[in-house]
Amino acid sequence: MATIMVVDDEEDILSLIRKILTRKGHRVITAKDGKEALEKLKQIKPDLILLDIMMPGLSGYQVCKMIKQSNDTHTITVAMLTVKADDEDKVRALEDSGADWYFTKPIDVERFAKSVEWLLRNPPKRG
Amino acid sequence: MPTIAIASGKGGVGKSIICANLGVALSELGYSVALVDADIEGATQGLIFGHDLEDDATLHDYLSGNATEEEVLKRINPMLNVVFGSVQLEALMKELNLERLEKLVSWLKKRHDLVLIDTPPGFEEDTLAAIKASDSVIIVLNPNILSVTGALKVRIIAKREGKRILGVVVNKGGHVDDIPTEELEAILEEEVLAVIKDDPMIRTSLLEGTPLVSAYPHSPASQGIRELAKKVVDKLNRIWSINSSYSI
Repeated sequence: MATIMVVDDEEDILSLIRKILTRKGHRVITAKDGKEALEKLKQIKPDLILLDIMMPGLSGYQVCKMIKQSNDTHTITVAMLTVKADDEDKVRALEDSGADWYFTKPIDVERFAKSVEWLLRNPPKRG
Repeated sequence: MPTIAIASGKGGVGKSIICANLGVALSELGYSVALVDADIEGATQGLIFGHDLEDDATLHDYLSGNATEEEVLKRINPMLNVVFGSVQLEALMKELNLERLEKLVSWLKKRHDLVLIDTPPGFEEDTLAAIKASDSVIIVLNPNILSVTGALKVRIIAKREGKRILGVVVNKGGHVDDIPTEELEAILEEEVLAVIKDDPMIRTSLLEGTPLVSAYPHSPASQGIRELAKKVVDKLNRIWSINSSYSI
């Protein structure tokens, strides 16, 4: 069982992802924005963070960068989960913000569950 | 006849080795192939083919207006010609007119079934010139994040230039902890044409100066490259209906 944090401002997305991941036996923590996520990370160190990009307050890019720049959290695998599907957005997340992977919504439930298991088992190497 | 830029975005992924061996594999399938080493600052095709350039005219001479198309074209086998790049520092100091690359490519296209361009890594003027001179692009990457990012950047440029992306080739792959093919296809929105295994014979063939598919045709990487060649031909036939010729 892994601990997975899901950060998204849309309640429907949070409950969908929670349902998918708890069904796979994982513990799910949610946060509705970047501020709440960073606050919760002071107490909990999840194995994986699934992070939306377009949220009120801090953007997912900013939150990811902060997670990756902090000595306490930089080893946590972060994957973006967003509707932004342009290559430019992916480059910004992977290169500038230091994200470990990038998923675009809408998701295929079975496919997504498989991808999460892969990320937990073998987070991609940077270079 | 189609021209394919073999590009990577990030250096050191093994793009030039894939390009050379793909050229040999395509020529063995009966297609006349011209390969242009357009990696202006890091030409390696001479090393891969074990071709001692000595006083031979190179792409650099052509781009600086000091050689003709016929002078720079070197015959490797009856179905494969290569335009080598210079490895001399003074060749880089010459004023190179990158616009001449398109002229060279259109001359080569009239005389071959396929033209492959070994494209410089990075995103400078020389990379752009190579992509502009092509009709389509194959992206080579390694299964890691930085290489995926490089591939995404190539995709951005290729799409901006209106070039068709034939797919991606994963080089130095085949490890259990590699990024899975379906994840690469999802993030890049491109087909993975082949996964070329990390193969120690690649290094051996480099030291021997003979392309892997000729020197060690049964090695895992050679087999992967032959499969890639068949897939490329299949794709090109669907798009351009290329026909193989039996003499150049």
